[in-house]
Amino acid sequence: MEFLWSDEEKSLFSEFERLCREKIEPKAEKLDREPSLSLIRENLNILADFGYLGAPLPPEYGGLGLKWVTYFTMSEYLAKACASTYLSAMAHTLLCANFITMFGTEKQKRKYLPELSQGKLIGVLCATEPGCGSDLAALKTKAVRDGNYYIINGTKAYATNGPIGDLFIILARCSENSQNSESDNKNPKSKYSGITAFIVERETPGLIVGTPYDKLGCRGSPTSDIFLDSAKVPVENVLGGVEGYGFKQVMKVFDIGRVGMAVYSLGIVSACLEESIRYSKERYTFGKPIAAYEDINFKIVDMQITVDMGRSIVLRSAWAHDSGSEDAGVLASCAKLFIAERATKNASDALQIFGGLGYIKGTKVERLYRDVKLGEIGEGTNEIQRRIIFKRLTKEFGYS
Amino acid sequence: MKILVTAKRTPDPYSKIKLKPDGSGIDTSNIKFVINSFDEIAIEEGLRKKEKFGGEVVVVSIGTQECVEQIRTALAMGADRGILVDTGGRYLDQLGVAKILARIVEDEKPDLVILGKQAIDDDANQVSQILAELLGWPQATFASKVDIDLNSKKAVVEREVDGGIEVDEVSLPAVISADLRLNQPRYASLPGIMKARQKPLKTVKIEDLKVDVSPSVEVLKFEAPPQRQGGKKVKDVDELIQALKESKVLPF
Ligand SMILES: Cc1cc2nc3c(=O)[nH]c(=O)nc-3n(C[C@H](O)[C@H](O)[C@H](O)COP(=O)(O)OP(=O)(O)OC[C@H]3O[C@@H](n4cnc5c(N)ncnc54)[C@H](O)[C@@H]3O)c2cc1C
Repeated sequence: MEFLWSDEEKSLFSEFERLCREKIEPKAEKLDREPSLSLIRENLNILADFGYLGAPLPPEYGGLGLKWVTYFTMSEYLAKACASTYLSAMAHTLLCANFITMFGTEKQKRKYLPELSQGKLIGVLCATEPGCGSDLAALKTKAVRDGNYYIINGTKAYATNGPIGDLFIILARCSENSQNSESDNKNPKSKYSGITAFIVERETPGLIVGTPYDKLGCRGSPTSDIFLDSAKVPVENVLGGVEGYGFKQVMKVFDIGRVGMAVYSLGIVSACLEESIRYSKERYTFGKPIAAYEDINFKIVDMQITVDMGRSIVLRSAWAHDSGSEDAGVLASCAKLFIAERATKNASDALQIFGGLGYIKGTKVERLYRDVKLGEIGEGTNEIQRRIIFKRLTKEFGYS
Repeated sequence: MKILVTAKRTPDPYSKIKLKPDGSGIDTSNIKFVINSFDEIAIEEGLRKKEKFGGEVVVVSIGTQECVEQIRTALAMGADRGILVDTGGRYLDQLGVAKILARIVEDEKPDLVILGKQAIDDDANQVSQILAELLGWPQATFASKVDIDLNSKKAVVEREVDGGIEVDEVSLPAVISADLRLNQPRYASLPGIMKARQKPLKTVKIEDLKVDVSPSVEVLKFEAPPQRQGGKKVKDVDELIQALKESKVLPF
């Protein structure tokens, strides 16, 4: 096994690193302090111009067909530069556009992917509801067929990009008497029964976007509720064309999305590490830079370990996805869980290294400390990742 | 119109420069190399003119095989093809570089050559001037604005001089050197980088150009600038003035 990048990939990384450092990072503090829909949209436009938003999507539909290993490696630069911008870009590409890539009908791919690739449309995935997140199959949003339309009613919560979204993938449950025998519907008593993904355009009557939440971290990435008040969605917008596959589909989408969340945490630790090294050499106590003290060294070393080990497991799970390996999903859960847990501790350490200054707004590690926590929640909490990994184990040992 | 631009491989201005212990040069083991910042501006200007008038942008780099990286970056930005003059690592002075470029210009016959006003490594600021002289072409250095009129085959170039802006008119073909405020270079895009691989890149061996590049300048030694000495705190303005006088900053 070799870890070698091509010259092309190397120049891709260095050019993207520069773009993130020069064009995105300088705005990160402002975006956090005064979240602005136009500023985040502007950042997404910069990324779209570079080609990042469509980078891993298929070239037949306007993407660039980058391998997952390449895409996730370059993504770390963005996550490091501005976690908020990264989250929005990631949700757009991995949760919405890639959902359509993986499961959309030919017609849906032709219709939506080119504009999603170019960032002309911003994508949103609405899975979570006020009443359910971890237990997604308990969702209550209902879709009722009415001629050539579905009428959708319900409330979606925590939709990343909701306030700037153009295209929404909405998970809803179709009524039980669906004809589709192939899908999960065949057992109407199953809690997965009837769950279906719909592609819903922003202008759809009955789709209402809530006001952006006031969040702890990742404040620059706008999140909101999405209300569906008898939203009228044409039948051809059933994602993949057939009712009842929504739950299975979204789980597969998360299998890749979770690598994206792992990179979110990884980028933040990488920023913590850089800041911590810089400051520990500058700050003097008792006549020495604090970098001379073992307690400080150990904190920094722990960050370095997260970055190195984190990169390895991100690459490994990305590679598993590239090669269609069966354990790609569980590796993604491992990657996300491993990095996110360490990252929260690492960011807390970084703030500690800054002492009182770390507690003050405007100090970068203060923002990183707030941003980092999302890594343990988004796309399945730590607890849920452990459930997934354990399920896989029990399956291997023949328990279920 | 056909435009020739240059892409010298120089250390990233953000990298920390260390010297080799024997002073024979800089230690390149841990530094990142980029296109000379002023050449990047020259390339951008070439691309903008091509976008306006059509034609072709040819990028030249002189150095070792590693310069392919810089040529590819320029191609990724949008240049059409590249020429690497492989020196096999030998030392060239500014006259040597200008002579090589003059040979390339003879072959390529561009309507315009745009170079960075200087390279950020040796800061010589000589090549564009020598090149214009060798070619017998008009030159406009330190350009902060370039307007081209294809009908009259003229370029109007604004130059930042001490007292303000000097406006020169040169007839084409000409040599122009780019200053900092000429433009803001674009970023190579992902599709651009992917396309760059397919663009033509020709390598020419320096020997095959048959120009005499034996240097008239010899590099004796590299030395780091002296370490900054610690400052001194003063009580009041009087003491400050006294200190400035003692250190001969104030002449009286
Ligand atoms: C900034 C942000 C952006 C988001 N973006 C999106 C988005 O774009 N689209 C989207 O659909 N969702 C999004 N989410 C929602 C996110 O995915 C959910 O918040 C997450 O999955 C957790 O669901 P919940 O909030 O309902 O928590 P709950 O499911 O209510 O969980 C509460 C707690 O109980 C624990 N828990 C639950 N079940 C178990 C169990 N069986 N065993 C042990 N512990 C358990 C959980 O781990 C957690 O600690 C976003 C959230 C945030 C904060």
